[in-house]
Amino acid sequence: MIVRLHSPQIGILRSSTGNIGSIERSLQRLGIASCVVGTAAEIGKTDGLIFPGAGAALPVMNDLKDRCLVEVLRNYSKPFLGICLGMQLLFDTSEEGPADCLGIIRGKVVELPGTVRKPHMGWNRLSTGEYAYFVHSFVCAPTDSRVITITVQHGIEIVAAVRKENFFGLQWHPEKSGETGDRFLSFFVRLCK
Amino acid sequence: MQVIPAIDVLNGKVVRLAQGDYARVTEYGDDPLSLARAYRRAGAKRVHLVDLTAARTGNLGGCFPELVRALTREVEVQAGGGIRDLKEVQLLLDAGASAVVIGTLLLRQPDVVRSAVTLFGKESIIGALDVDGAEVRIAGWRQGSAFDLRSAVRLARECGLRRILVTDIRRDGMGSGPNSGLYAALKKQFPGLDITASGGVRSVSDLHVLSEARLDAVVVGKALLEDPSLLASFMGVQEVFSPVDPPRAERGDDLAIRIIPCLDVTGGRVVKGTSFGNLRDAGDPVELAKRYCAEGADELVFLDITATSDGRDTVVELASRVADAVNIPFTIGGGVRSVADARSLLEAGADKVAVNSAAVRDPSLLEIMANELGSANTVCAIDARRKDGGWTVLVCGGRDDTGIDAMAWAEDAERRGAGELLVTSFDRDGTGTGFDTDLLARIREKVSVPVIASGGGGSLGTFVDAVRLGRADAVLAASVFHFGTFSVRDVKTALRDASFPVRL
Repeated sequence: MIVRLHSPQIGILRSSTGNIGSIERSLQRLGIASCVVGTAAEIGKTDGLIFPGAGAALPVMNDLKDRCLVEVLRNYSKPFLGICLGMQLLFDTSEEGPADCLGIIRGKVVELPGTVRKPHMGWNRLSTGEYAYFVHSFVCAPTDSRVITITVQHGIEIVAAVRKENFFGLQWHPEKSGETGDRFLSFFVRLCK
Repeated sequence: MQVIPAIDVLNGKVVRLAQGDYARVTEYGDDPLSLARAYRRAGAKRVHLVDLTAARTGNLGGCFPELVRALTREVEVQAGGGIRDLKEVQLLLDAGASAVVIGTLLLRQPDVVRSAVTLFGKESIIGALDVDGAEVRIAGWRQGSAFDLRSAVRLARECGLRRILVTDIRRDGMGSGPNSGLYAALKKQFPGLDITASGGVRSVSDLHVLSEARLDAVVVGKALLEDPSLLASFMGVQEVFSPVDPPRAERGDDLAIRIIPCLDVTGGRVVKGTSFGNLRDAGDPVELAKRYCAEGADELVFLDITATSDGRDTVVELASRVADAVNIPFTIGGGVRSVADARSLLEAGADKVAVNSAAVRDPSLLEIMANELGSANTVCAIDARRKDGGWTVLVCGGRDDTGIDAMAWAEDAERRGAGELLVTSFDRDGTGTGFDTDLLARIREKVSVPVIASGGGGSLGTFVDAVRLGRADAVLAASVFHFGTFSVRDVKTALRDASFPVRL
């Protein structure tokens, strides 16, 4: 790990099911110092937090509850990036479970309709024109469309990225999206300084 | 065409500068909030709020975000003036601004604007270009930028901006009429961009001229401050000239066809032969992975063809080394017998694990993997061979024919939780004579999960056929890539020429 003086300390939230290795490696390749965090005290020391959720909504939420992290995440005031399930958990509720989520962004998470191919897997073109790698079967439906920053077309319009204040969410995987992902991660880290 | 009243604020007062000159200030009271309210009542949807203090000093004033917050309770606000960095953009957006207007920073640090567009969305950022004759001026019009208008607009577009506000300095605050020729030419050259005109609008007929030039919006300042009686007629122009929304195009699907080089590995080396025999060495897997990644591969598949239990550690180590080296997804398969095998590969850094023979022997393996590791990580590899007008499933690298119908197995695999099917035609594998498009199309029809075509990739046309006839979501090949018959990019170009979406 490259540790530089004054570089922001990016935390990667440990999760019971998710594989955090990919995001760790991405940051490492970009020369960004990061550490894996799991407790409120560790989270408190970070300048930015990445939540690479993987797995299903209900067990991951239960795990966060067991570790008393729900309030800690809700009150997190530095830049926060939820990836895939990590984005979905920012919303009020998810049909996957069903589960009550963090409730940071108003809205719910619903299953992709039967009319589109599921899972939405592969490289899709973002409304920014760049390609990004997606793997998911559930999608975010924000109450307030103003939180939507990027969309993507897969038979229906899918919310590809959201932001509310310091909380950012990506439905796609920046750690697997080649240069598009590398760029997003380095931009996000700039905000953490 | 939207009409956007401007509210320029200097030290708390509503002002206008003549041609950006801070020595020539006209004040219009100290109540921007009431003004915004009046504009909203007259029909304005949005106001253009500028912090002139910050535009000059480069310091976003402490009370400006508060002003933004207050105004957004009345009307949409696009706010700007002296934005220096990403955090200030966020500050104004968080204060409620619908968009942040960025001028100087766009030309000085385009990368920051690019990051703002990426992080906050392209609707949230407006590029502002203040043009004086041939040159774009920056820092409150006091400095030159060495950019002409068109190269500055091109730069803005490269940064991902969709909306550009162009102010003609020579006309601004002069009441001499807008430079409609300039705007019309710009809109014609950049039809994909929203162009907002600013500077010199005096009358409704000026607005009509701009509207006919197909401008998307116009910012109006001095005219409305000088003569509030114009308000109603100015806002009325929005209704008369509001363009009819084009009928919404049917939702498309921009999901790209994936091109996947496959690396068969044994003992830490890549090999590929004909009909699963006749191995030839084609290099180091990690070096090849990096090469394919740089070449534009969408994904990689590694198949461990040793498939003896004593080789497991090598392949786990391979997963870890590949994960260190590439920033695209990859799948590992071959010899995966249990959920523990799959878990160790995922933990080492693989994105997906493919199971083949073990799942045929015990289909519940797919269910356990899907439940414990996730469907998205679970790939079912199916080796099929034509038999009696159908296809049967082969296991153990093609050595054993199970007699199981490949269609039935594909459906069953999906039902049990496989997130993707990797379908290899044993008849075609290694022959280069083309994918078994009948097999692919039949399976594709039965399942909803993505289908990867494998076995038979030869000429570029065979790849196009796998997608066109076989309706494959992804196409996998080995030899043609390893031995440099053509590149991943060549395949993508061929697919693009055949009108299929690819990531190029």
